[in-house]
Amino acid sequence: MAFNSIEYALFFGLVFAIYWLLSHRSQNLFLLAASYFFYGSWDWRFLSLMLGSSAVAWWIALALDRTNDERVRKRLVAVSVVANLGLVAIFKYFGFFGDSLVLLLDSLGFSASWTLIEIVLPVGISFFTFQALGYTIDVYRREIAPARRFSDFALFIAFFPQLVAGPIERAHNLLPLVLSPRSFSLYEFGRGGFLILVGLFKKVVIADGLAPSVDAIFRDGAHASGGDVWLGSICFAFQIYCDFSGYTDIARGSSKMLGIDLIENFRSPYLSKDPQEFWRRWHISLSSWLRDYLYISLGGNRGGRFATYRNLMWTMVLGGLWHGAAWNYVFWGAYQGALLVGQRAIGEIHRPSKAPWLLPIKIGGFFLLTCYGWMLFRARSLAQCVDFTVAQLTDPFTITLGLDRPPLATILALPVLVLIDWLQYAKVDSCFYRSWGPARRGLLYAAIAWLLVMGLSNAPSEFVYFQF
Amino acid sequence: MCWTILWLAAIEIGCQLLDRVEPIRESALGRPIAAYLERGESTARRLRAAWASDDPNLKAMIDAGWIERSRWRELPAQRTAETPHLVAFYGNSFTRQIASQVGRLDPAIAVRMIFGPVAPASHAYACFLEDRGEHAADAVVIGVVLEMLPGLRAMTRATQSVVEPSPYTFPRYWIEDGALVSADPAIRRFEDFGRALEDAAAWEAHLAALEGHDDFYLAALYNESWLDELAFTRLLKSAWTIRHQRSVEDPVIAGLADPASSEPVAVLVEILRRFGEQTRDDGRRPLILLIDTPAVSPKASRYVRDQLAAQSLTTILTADSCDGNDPRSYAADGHLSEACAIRVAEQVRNWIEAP
Repeated sequence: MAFNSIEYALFFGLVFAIYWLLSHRSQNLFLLAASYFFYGSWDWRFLSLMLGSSAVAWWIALALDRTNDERVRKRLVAVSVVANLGLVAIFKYFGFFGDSLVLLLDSLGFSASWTLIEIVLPVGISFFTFQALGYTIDVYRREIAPARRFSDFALFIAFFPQLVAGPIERAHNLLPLVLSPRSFSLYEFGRGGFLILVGLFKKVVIADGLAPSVDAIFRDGAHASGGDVWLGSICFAFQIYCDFSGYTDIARGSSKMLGIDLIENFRSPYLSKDPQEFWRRWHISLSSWLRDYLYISLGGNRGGRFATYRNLMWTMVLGGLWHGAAWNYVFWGAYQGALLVGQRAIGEIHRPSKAPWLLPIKIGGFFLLTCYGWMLFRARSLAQCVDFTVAQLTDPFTITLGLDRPPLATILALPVLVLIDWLQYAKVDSCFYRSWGPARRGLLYAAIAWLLVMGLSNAPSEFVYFQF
Repeated sequence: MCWTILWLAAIEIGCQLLDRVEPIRESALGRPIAAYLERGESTARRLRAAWASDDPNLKAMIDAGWIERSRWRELPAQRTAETPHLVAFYGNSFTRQIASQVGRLDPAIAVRMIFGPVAPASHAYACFLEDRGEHAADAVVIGVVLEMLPGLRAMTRATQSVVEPSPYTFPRYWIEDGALVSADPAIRRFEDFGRALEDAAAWEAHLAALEGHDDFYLAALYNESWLDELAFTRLLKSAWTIRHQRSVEDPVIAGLADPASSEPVAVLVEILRRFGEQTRDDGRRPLILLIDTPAVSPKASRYVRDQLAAQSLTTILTADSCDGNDPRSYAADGHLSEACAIRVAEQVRNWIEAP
């Protein structure tokens, strides 16, 4: 039941209508049932997995709260880490590491011909396990109190708008919202509606419109010139941004209509001038999770310059691997880590100029670096990463394949997207339009709605982040 | 909300002006937008407009692909001293491209080309049947693009495309109790199509045939209604049409990954088997051209070839000469690149000239 489907519109309409008729307690139970139904519509078999992950995290958190014995507490949190990461390891990385081991043994001259069982990747596993893990670590660190009622905690894990592709919610944000009564607000309903509209606009009009052009470039790496790869990478940058942030907008909008505020996951990331700023604006829920639970646990910047560099690299490589079980994600993570380390290293030698005229150059330059990273991310194989890198460096201006022209709706929508992002960036406010007069605001809504209707003719594709 | 509705109304008025004021419509920006907005118009309305129009592109769109002997009278029909070989080709523009190259490679080969734009194998086979006694070809070639297999579930191109709904018709084939059976469309000739546009009963019969045997047909999208009047509703209709078309096409294309259990593949094999049998009955040599494109796996064409080999039918796969997944195998318009078409044509020529 994808967010851009008629089925979701019907499902959400029904949930919304019943939800606001219920008392707070019943609302939570109803939302939990709706969330399990939503998840089960992908694959009923994996519901037990999510239930198991929730039950373990809930029980461990209660046990952590009951004891002050640090040894026991450490063991308990270790169980949570092993259980959650074990699930991810089995379902997501088993095949990858198995295949890699076979290749390694082959290259060393050993014959390894065992057959690996194919394991289906459960939708959203990387998201709900990280959410459960974050919760138990927060309870361990005594930053939050554990949820007493299992159904409330299960709803925190399974809440359907953010279940399959985030944002990865933190217990200190979402759990209090689940536990406290909610009241309907027309203002929040309107904001939620706008977020859904913008999310659909990004996904349906831009991401789905660009997908065939990007696929054409990456389908056949051997014949693409450097110019083709740059074009494909730039288009992919917009595709993945609109796909993922579009999903997040619909998730946040749906949730807002139910009276629950999810955290912001994107803040005009392509207007970042350096890697550090980029990671404060891109997939914020993951980058802050990695910072709080991985980077800081590794020692953060407390061990001196080189330890900081090492910790940054580890965090980003593992962050890359979180996206998928393939080497190109590892390279992408390493590349992002190298950019962050590079920025720190340069910053220690000289302080970057803050001249305003330099800002567009910095933003443009960093956007190209980001696009190169997206090439690594989107590449179909290690060999394609290498071939494309060589092509991009040696022959950046030759275009041989050309780009399939995106649909008219997509071409018209891109300037609107850039304008929205620019206004959000310049006003430092994602709801910049609220300060506008009704005529100007109406024009924005109408333009987006019209482009959305135009873009409905684009071939629909699955959300990119569902595979993670 | 009121302002949003007002602005939507303003955009709608802009689109109406664009539709009605010729200079705006024909401007550099107006033309692609007008074409985009037209896609959601009901097919019946677009066909009626095309029939009444003097626009050569629209005329060509409605005129192409009809299965009528009278249209093929100018084509070569006899072998001569200069052209000791006469080869009849049936298919679509891919087949025509290869046929043209065959004629260029060897002037001793006269080429009789009959094709329909984006036509499926059912159209090519119906053309072959219609043309059977009309020529003295020593070899007959039928070209099949596997990507166009979903067309086997249609009776006209008009239900399959919002961009270029050519109204030519062809029979629908299916297998019943192991035998190939067919249903004919109610309109079979260009002139009949023109008459049906004016004759309610004939038009109803046409729609009834589509309703019965064309999986792409949806009355709400095909027939004229008040939804045609607004650009906004036309866009919604266009999206609905495209989604409906994909709901018919996608399972057929997905089924090509397992061709042995695909019903359209079984129908295709049976059509081609019958084609081979009938061509041999006529004392001619049959050849089947299986044309691969990046949208489908070459697995399906190899499966079809193996099935036909059991009937001793010769097939040529474009995938054997050009990598179907290599974008360089294709020209900008989506057809085979010239080099690729020549490589395939050489194979066809060698087969024609083989004793």
